[in-house]
Amino acid sequence: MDKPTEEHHFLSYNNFYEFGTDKSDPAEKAPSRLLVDPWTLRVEGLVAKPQIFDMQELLKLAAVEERVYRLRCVEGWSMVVPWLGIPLNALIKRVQPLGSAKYLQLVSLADEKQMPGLRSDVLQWPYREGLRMDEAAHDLTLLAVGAYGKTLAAQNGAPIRLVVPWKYGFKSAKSIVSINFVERQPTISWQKAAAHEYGFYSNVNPEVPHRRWSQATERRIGEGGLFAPRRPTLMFNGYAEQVASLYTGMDLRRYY
Amino acid sequence: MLSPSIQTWAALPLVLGSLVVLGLVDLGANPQEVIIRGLGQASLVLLLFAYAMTPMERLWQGLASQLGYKAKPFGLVSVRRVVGLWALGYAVLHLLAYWLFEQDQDTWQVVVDFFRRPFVTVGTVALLLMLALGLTSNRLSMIKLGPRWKQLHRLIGLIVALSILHYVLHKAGKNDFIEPMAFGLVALAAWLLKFKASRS
Repeated sequence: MDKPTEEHHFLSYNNFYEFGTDKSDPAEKAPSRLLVDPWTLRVEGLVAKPQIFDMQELLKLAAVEERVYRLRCVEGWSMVVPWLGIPLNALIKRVQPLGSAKYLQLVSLADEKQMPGLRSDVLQWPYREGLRMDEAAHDLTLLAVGAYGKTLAAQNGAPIRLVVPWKYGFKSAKSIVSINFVERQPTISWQKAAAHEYGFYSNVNPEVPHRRWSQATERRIGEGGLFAPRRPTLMFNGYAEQVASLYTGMDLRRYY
Repeated sequence: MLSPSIQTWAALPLVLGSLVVLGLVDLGANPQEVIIRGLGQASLVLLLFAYAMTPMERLWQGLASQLGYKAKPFGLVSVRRVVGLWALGYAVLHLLAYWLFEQDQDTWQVVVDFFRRPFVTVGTVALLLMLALGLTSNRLSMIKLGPRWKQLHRLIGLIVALSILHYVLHKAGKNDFIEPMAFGLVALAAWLLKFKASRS
């Protein structure tokens, strides 16, 4: 695995539009505003056992493990992050999805008192993400509660966030308050904002360019000096061996 | 005094940029992005400044005469040329930084982008027009081109419009248009003042 990115970059260079659209906004504004305790995660929809979890109950679902993943942002930069978390699958097993449940919709916190970015209509709030059931249940998919050996910082989506390492970073929703099991593919916030630029799947794919830039290469944050070359972006962010089979027979240009 | 102070101001981003290259200033996690965007913004600010100089001078004169006294010319118009050249310089560096950092010195990729990505197309056209104005911003060209010189240099309005469009297209998809809108409002105000003056 690649060398982890220096922690101070991970803590200072963030996209968390609920706190503003500048990369420095989340680190400046989130720590003093975001209330992470008490926190509850409501899990509902097409499941046999809907439940509202508090953090203690969540952490009892499975042992917290460290996973070092590449994180590739759709904007063309990447980091390597040692996450701490539990597999999302542990939660899925607990609530027992019905046969009709085909997708998960994940909803992030949207509280105007805590999040100054909500005043801007850059996106439709609350931030919504979604995964197909097999993607959500995949062993790589993590519910992260920490990173770099510590509890997750506010600007990184405390206290609980999704991490799906083979998809562009925006799929890994932050500060999640609810997960809804549904039958139809949910519309995600970025699709609502610009459907021609951001798709439901958003798998990292160097061959499918973004409308405004190529996705063939990436800037690894903190690697080398000012004139260090970019890195080639890997198919499924380097996790093709584990996840390519989820998409057999799918036209990845159409389902971007 | 006006020209040296404006030039010092115009040179600030260049000085800052040199300090960054020398490793004396830390631009955070993604310095390449800060440099590319900073150069683009420096160019646009100076370009707008050059564009707005005639109406600003006129506004100043008008204000003074309303208050009942005759104002000395500010002399803004005399520095218009040099400010325009600074704007051109930053625009060239902006493109160079894009080629260097964003495309890893792959010139072919920049050409591909020119045809494939509207924001690159629009930005490059604006830069080429600016280059034409810059290259003819000397006395010899003025004499050679005669009345056509003025026509050519009226293109600054188009260059301003294209540059702001370039900025808007770059931001498109993020629905975050506050910065390009601010530039757009300044440009619009300057254009309205020019339009009014040409009518009266």
